[in-house]
Amino acid sequence: MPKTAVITVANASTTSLSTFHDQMVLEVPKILERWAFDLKVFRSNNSQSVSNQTSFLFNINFEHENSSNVTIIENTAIISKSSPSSALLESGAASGTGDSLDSIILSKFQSLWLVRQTLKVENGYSYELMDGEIVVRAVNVFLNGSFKNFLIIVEDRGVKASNEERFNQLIQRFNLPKGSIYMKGFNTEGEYLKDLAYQIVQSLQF
Amino acid sequence: MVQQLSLFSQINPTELSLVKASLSSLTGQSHPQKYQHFVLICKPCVILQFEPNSTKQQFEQYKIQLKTNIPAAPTGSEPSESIVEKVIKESKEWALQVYDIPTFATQQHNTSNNSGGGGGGGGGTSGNGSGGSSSKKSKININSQTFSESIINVSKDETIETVLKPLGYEIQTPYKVEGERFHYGNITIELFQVLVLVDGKWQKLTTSTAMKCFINVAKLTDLENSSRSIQELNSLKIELQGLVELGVPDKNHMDSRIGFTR
Repeated sequence: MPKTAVITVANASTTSLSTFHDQMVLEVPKILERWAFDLKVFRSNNSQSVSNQTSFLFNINFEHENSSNVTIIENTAIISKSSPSSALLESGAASGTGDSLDSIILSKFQSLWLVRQTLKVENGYSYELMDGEIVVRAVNVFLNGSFKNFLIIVEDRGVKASNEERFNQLIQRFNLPKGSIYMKGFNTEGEYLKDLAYQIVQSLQF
Repeated sequence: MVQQLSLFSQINPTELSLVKASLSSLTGQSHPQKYQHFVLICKPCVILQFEPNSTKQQFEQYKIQLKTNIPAAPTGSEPSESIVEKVIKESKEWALQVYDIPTFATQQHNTSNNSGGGGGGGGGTSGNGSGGSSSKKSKININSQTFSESIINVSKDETIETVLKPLGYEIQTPYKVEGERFHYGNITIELFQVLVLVDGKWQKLTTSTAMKCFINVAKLTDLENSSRSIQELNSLKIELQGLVELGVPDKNHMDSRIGFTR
């Protein structure tokens, strides 16, 4: 199961991505297709409820991962997708209409969650290194048209148990730019997208 | 978001075998597809009261349905109560569905003079002229309801309950659907019974069997497809006249909104 770490590069600007690209090409990676994700931030709708506690709901849709959808509320994560398995279809439980969970939250759960921000993060670079053991992804994040962050994501697809030390070694090995690293996640077997989504949300610091 | 056009009926136990035989010969399916699934009706944890004359922005609340397939039939000796808990605990893939307000299907007519009979089915033909002289919208006695669906994958150490909680929903009623499915052209015909838990045992809600004939139209804006589907449902209705009277039940029972309207 892949492990991930997200780096927000310190002192980055819009040109950091192309500088980084030039640097990565020297490692002779296999260049994978562009990647993108879509992030929506919801805030709990307190206008009518009794409690005044504000909580946030983050929804990330990974376009490059089959449009997998991860919804993060506090310390739980929900993975959803738009196409059901054949078992669900045959039993009549699902009809395969292909909606994503965030569109339902957006249109039908307005009494509970109100959308605050939407971020569309597009045109990220992906590099496969060390015979597919490592995938490095980089992208610029814009918020309301202005530059917010330069994110680098390291995916360790190796079989070895990876930990903090391993990521630090990788960062040194590929001479990745310095910044804050986010490695914490849910650590659920086989669901690294949850971790990745959590790390991205943490790194963007809403 | 999908638009579902549907017609309903109920069949008495004495007529059931006749209806099944007729549907078999009509559809050419001697062995209809058997199916069963498990449904949880869920409601928001906090139900808001409608405040008249309030300046606050108010939103409607919807009940949601979570459906899953029932894994291979467990041995009958177990009490059903634990079966419900077992499904909630073990089922890892759920379809979350939200149904919108049910309405009458509408159809665009190009010739306004001859309308009325065109829709058939005794539906109200309250014309809703859209300005032009040659086109007219008429309501047809077919139920039209849009719904959204998303598939939730529950991880190993969680259950659907723990996933629902942070979203702000809780389980209200579990029930089970058992039925058979025929296909006639684009129409899916379902004959099913709803089973509810009474004193820890699955019991049929009614002795009669429900019949639902529907077509899902993928795009709301696809008027051509939608009107073709309406025609198809109408012709099935005429085909089965005398055997089964297809119609639309009280729409209030199919409305998934809560709090706001009632």
